[in-house]
Amino acid sequence: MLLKPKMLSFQSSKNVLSLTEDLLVRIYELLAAESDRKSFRLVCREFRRIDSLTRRHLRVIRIEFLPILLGKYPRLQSLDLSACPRIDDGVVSLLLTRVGPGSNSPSLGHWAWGLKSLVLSRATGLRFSGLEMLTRACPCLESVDVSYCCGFGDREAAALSSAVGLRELNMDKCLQLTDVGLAKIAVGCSKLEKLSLKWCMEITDLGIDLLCKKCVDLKYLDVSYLKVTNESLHSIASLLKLEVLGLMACPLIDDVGLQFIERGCPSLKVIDVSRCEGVSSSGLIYVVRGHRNLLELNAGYCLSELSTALLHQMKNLNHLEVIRIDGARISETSFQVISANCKSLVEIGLSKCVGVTNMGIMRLVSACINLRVLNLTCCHSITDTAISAIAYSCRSLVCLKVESCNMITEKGLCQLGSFCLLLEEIDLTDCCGVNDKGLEYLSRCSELSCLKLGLCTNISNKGLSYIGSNCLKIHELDLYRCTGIGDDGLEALSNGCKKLRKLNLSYCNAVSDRGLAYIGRLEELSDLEMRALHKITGVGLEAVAVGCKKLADLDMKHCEKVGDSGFWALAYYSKNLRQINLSYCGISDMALCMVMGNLSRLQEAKLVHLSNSTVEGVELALRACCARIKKVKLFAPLRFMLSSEILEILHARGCIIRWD
Amino acid sequence: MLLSKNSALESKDNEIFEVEESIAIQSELIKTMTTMVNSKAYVNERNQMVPEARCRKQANYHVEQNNKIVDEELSDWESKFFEVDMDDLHELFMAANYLEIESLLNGVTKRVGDFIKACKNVEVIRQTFGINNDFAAQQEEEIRKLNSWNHI
Repeated sequence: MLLKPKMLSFQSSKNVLSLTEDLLVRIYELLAAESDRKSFRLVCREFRRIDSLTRRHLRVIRIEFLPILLGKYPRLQSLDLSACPRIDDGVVSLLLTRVGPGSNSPSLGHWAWGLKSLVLSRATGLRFSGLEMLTRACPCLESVDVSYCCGFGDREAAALSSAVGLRELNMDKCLQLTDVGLAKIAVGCSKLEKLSLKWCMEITDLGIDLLCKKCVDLKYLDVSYLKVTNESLHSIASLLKLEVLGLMACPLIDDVGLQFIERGCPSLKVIDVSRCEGVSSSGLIYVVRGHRNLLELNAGYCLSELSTALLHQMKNLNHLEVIRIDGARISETSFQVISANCKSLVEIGLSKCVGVTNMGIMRLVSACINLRVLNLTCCHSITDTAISAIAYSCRSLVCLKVESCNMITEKGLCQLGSFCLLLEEIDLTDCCGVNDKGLEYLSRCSELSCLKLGLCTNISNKGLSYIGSNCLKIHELDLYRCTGIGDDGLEALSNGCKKLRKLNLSYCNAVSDRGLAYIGRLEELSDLEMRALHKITGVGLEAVAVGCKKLADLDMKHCEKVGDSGFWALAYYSKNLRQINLSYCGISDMALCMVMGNLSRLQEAKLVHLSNSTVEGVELALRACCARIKKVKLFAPLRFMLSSEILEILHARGCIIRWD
Repeated sequence: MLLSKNSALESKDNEIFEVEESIAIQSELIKTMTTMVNSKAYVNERNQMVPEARCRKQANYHVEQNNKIVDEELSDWESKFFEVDMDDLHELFMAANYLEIESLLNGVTKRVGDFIKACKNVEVIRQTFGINNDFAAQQEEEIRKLNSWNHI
């Protein structure tokens, strides 16, 4: 339905502004897209006031604007600072300081009063004093995310423990956290419902035991990768409200430990024991036997097969919605049992499973008609027959992964295009049977948003043009090593797929500057991988830099013909760039310095083997960006040629250097 | 009060029309009044605020809704119902708000929201809704700058 806004001259009483505030708020809340809200804000003062009042969530990238924004939005409930690279204790202190008495602007501390959720992921500059200030200033704090703050440890945990109302806490990869810190949190935040401690390698059974004794309301606990033993499972089994348990890749957990879970955790709905080397079918029998209402079972890459005894128990899992048993050997009996008893399945993961046959799949999908996600990566025996069966039975299919299933041809894709019209994601990497005809059929799935066609050497510009005409919602497209794709295909793509955000053109060596000019028309593009495009020059790169204003991630390794003009353009236009790979490019010293110095959001750079630069040039470039760069990859011999001073500065600022 | 299955509602323009009770109760306002008061006359008096056109529209809206049309037909009909110009939309908005009919309010709000989404830029929004730009140039510039640097 085409909406044509009519232009009428209004009597002032019928103006939309005469609507009351709550009605305007209702309208505003319907505008979910950020671009619409930005327009709304600019219309007039009243609309901006509505925007300020209603805004509950703020995610900030530029730290300079933070004080202004926090002053404008008094009713914030959630604040996301994970994209601010320079947030540290000093900044926090500034934000929380009250403006002097008698001044006109409101005191800055206001914004913290109602704040419920705080995301400080990767805020490596922050320390315990900053955290203490925040927890004291935000009395309503319920959810905190400090994941990937690798330097965080027990002192930071102590700061967090003063947030008494805390319900959710994410401390993934807080590497210095030990049992002492965990104990402080357990005692201080007794209302905790959700806790994630992935990769906090210093945690032991002692810490987990105290946690389970103090935080009895825990519903979600993730201890993946930790070196905890079966004793922890004994403690965890006492958590009466636990619904989700993450034990991925826990090396010391085994079948004996899972025995505790059989009689414990009565509310358990989701369990993840993927990659646990000590777990086998016997261990899972305990889990399944004790929890017939299990909703999600993740046992990828740990089971060698589904034993008969386990299958027998699985007959009771009538409510199972998700099962992932990647890497296991699957028998015909397995398919029979699952299809007879687990008809509520919505997601099935059989990636790299042995024994997946057409017959088995057909049996499975005819029973599990509500299937939305199906992963058959590397199930090489699958042919068009299975795909047709899937398409015909599972009309609600949203995601299909069939990487390396190279017997699939356009016949299977025709069936998908006819029946699975809700399909959003499909992975056809390395499916050499996919051709232009197949893409024509597939393009009927107009909801497609993620399409992976890496290594599909039989597709050409013609196939891509079908996608460009019909799949207008595409966000992500992978054309890795699709050597048949050239400039004409990119033209078709840029005409239709305006929402494209992520594109991989690596090794599509027919692409030239003309093709990149079309790429420059994709205004939403943020992630571009274009390795080894030997025909492109500075002209092409400039077109991309100028046009793709949201570009954040660029990988142009081995694009050896690109000259400085392209890099100058990058330095000037690509203000949103956060990660760049310039390895093996012919960038000069000056251009390198401009790129590293000018792009203030750049956090990661790969600069291996720059044929046109010198050691001095690299040193200068590193100095220009040392304040904010977080990760850099350099040519190994430079380790002894760069001054120790620059290496020390980088190290002191927390920058990680890798040598290649 | 409601002597039969139909209730008579009088609008501001003094027109009386009959509406089925179940439909009249969709309006929270009428529902509250009819449960609070026993006199039909009283109910009519309070309804005088509502001009005739609006009342008829709402009555129609609910008649159709309650006829249990199939989903597709209903959404088609709804889109036609709301395909009116700004003035009428405004009327519907005020009426739905006054009479407190949740479903109608949702429909109108969505329609206005769709209008805003369809507008290419701020100027078009202002023209569509007849709003004057009351920002100082500096203020507007500040907001535009904030818009471009933040992913809020």
